[in-house]
Amino acid sequence: MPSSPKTATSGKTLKEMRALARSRGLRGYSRLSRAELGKLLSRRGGENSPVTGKTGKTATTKPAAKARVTSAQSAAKPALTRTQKEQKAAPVARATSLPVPEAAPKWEWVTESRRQPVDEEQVKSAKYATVLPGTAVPHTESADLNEDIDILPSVTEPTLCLLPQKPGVLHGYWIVPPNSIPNPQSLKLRLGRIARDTFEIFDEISLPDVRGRWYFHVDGSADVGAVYLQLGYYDPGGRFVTATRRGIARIPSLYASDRIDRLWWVSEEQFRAMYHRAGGHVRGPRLGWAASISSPGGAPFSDRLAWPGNVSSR
Amino acid sequence: MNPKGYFALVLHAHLPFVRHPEHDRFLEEDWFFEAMTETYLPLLEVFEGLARDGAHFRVTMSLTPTLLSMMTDPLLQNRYVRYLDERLEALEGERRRTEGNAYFQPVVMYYRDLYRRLRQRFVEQDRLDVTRSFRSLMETGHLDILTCGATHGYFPLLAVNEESLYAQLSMAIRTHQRILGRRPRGIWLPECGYKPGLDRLLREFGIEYFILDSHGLLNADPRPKYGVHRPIRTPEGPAAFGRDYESSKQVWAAEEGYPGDPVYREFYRDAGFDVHEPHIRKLHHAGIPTFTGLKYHRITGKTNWKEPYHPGWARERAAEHAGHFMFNRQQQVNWLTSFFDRPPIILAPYDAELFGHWWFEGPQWIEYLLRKMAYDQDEIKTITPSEYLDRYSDLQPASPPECSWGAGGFHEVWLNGSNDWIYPYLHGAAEKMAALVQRFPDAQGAQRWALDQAGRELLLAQSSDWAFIMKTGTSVDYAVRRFKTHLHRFHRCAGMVESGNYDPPYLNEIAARDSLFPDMDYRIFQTRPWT
Repeated sequence: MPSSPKTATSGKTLKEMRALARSRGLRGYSRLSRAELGKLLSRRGGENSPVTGKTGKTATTKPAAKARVTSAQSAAKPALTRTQKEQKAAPVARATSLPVPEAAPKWEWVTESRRQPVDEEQVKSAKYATVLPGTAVPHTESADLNEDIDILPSVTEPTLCLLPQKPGVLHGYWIVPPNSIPNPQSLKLRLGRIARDTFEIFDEISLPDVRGRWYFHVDGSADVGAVYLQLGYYDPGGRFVTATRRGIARIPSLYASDRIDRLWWVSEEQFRAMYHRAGGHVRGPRLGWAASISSPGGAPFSDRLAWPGNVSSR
Repeated sequence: MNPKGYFALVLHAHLPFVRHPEHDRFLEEDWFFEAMTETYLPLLEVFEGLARDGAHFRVTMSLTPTLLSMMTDPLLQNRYVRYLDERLEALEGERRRTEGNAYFQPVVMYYRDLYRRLRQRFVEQDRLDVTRSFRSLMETGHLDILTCGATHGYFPLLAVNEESLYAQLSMAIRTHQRILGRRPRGIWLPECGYKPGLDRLLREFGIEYFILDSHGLLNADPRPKYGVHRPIRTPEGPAAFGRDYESSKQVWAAEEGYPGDPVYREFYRDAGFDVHEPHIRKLHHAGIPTFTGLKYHRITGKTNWKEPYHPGWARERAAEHAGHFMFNRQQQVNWLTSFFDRPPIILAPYDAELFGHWWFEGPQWIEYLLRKMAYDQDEIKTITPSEYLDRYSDLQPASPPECSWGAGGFHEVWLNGSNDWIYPYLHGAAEKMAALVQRFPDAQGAQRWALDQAGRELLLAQSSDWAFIMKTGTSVDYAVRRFKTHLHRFHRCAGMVESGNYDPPYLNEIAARDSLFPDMDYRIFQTRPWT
């Protein structure tokens, strides 16, 4: 059994887990206990089923050509940090999260700045409204072209992609077609960055299945540069062998730059005033934006995932 | 006399391409008809009235390529006339039903006059094509029209395949030029989605400026000296304008914003649900009550009790709100000029459909605002971003961060548990399309036909609307089906090209349905501009 589900939610508070569920678009999680929620997240986080969408049917994946894992694709196993070494010794949990998430955000929302998502969604989706909310839309289907749209295309090449979702959260998806990689049970996903010629691992999970998607939470408070997602396995010598092209993404910035252009000099006071009037936050040493509060190292809190001032952002 | 500051009103008009010739009537086509009735035509009336009166005003609008395609589509044009005729017929029934009812008959008569007027202008003045009117306002300099992604694809999440971005931009510029007769100077990035490096592509396409949400400028590196009140110059050259938060808030905010005023028209109370008479039932789709656009109540309060709508009162309130808005902009400009060494620009972008469709009195509010700005003061002058750049070209160089104007400010609206399943398919299809372009650089005949249609289908699948609808839960089934249909058609076309076995009847049929972009050239899916 893949070990990753345990690692994904271990160490998270109930509030953080609920926020994680929200960020994944799950519903009905607020009534679940911590253990139930952990199970749900583990199941959904590494969800391997292809798309079901609204029309019900699932996709099929045809057998594909075997992916070649060449020596050129092999990479030396990076030097592990102390924490990683300790965690590697543990039989199950592999996930690490570096830099260490902060327990609390650096600054708080001002109360009056919270938006009401219900209002915002009403406004935003009004142009697509044809019936009252909650009413079934009459659906006219055309079958005259013999299009079985629910059979989605198969993927024949091993695929790996990393996308930034928001500060502190990255989304990765992978597809390992059957027979394309030997021993897919041993596959792992590694998220990290290259620092001082070594691959510094932020997170590592066993592949829950040959096809899936995952939300990685990293510290969004610092600019860590490019973040890499690798899919591969450890060979008997402990070297990590990559099985696909890697995914690369940058974590979006939360904060105002500290740099000031000499020719366009702006005083700290003036910039803070403009930042504040524009809905940003100026508490503490840094100037941060709305989404930042949701990010440092963990999942967003649903009541903070907001735009300031009840403003619809669409 | 030079003004103290400038105000740029930017309206982003967009709808996904919804056109279903295979059905005699199709519910989601009402998205377009409702927006035409409540937003696009009323806005044109406002702008033309101002121009006729010689008022100085400038407005910037983005008309997306999908919207331009629908506005110029003969099938939708004729169906829109039918839509208006059906409502006029229903209103005749409503006139009889409300005879002697002092509360509701005035509203019914108001709608009858409105629909008659709109029908007359659409048929006689626009000759079924409203893009003519937008174009003539553009040519007189009152309107600056921006382009957008060809199908409103969300660039930061499509950027995995750079070919997709080139294709979105190439087709957008072609369509803009074909329908409006000139190349766009600026672009409304779909959902204001920006990713570092995008400025290079925009430069390659000759785009001079784009618009970002406030944090796109405020978090730029280095710090922008003028905040969001003056554009910055991105590393590759195009200028980035920033959204002004304060002016946005007054219109968008749910409680403190103008559209929530009790006197304004209530969006959710509609004759389609309230009136159970044969003449209204005729407007239902498949026997299910739907919005008809005939709404007779005002917001009144937070309870379900709604009082009759009074257009005159609402109009007065719109004028008051316009005055309030202008006063606040004057205060804002006075504050900014206290420490700025050049005139600030206050750029206020909104979804165009907010005005009229959601906030029925929105176009009236715009009219009052522009008139007041033209006649009642001289501190603020309306301007377009193009004009601003022509006057002030010395901009601070800075790099904007990755951002969007979606909830939270980044990509979460279009990438979350409800819609993340689409991306492996979108990226895979784009990769396949790019490979086909490389493999068949000079396709002819049926091969070219299939490749061009594959390009259309892929662009349609990339529309950000599907992911947005999946997230917000309105018409989810339709969005999922549209995404899957275009993906299916793309792969079927690509399969024909790969196998050499073409299915002309099928190609004919899908080309007739997904008929936008008649000048499609599949070679737009490569990493260079193909315009």
